[in-house]
Amino acid sequence: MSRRVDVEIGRAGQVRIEFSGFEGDLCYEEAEALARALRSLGLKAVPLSVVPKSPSEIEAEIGMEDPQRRKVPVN
Amino acid sequence: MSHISSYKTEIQLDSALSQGLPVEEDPGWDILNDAIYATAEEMNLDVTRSFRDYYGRAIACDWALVGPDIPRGIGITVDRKTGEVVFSCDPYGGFERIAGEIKDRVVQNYASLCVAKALSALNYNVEVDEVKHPVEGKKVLIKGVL
Repeated sequence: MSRRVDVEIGRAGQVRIEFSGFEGDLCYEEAEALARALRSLGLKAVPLSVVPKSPSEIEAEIGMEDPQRRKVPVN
Repeated sequence: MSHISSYKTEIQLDSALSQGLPVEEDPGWDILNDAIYATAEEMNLDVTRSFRDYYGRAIACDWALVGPDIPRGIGITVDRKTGEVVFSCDPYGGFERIAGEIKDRVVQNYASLCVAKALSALNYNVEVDEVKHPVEGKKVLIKGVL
């Protein structure tokens, strides 16, 4: 899967960044590299929150099915 | 692993200053200029070099944005010693809201230009899109793919 960064910039420059397709801790290294690049351009990005994706979200990204979550009949 | 981060942002043009160069040579100077002109176009404002106080006195600044909704204007000045970007206006008479909206839009446009440039510098293929949210106003969506 390709690595992807989706950025949403709201009012007053509030920034939400979603890193997808990164293995291990590479997404954190990439976040630091992006923050450094922004700083060199005069934009200080002060972290407000960092939320790791859940295993099911990561599996959905890479197209794998979670073996522990199967559809079951409800009636 | 992948993750989602949220940030608040501040503009500070201190890269050139840290190398002993004038702030006008900072990479952010031209970006700020572009962000201000983009804001002027989006909000139907003129770019000048001074704004006015309640008594009509002109106050020089690096850029000012003036329009029918804010006839005295809002000034933008970069501190030559620290690189801090300062927004100034005389809001007396009910101009606080529009002044705040202009400032927010300049910062938003600046952040958007920086993110697009930074992702390009990190070798991402970059796409930029804009959406109008009914409550939150303009949002800029930037996608970078490696």
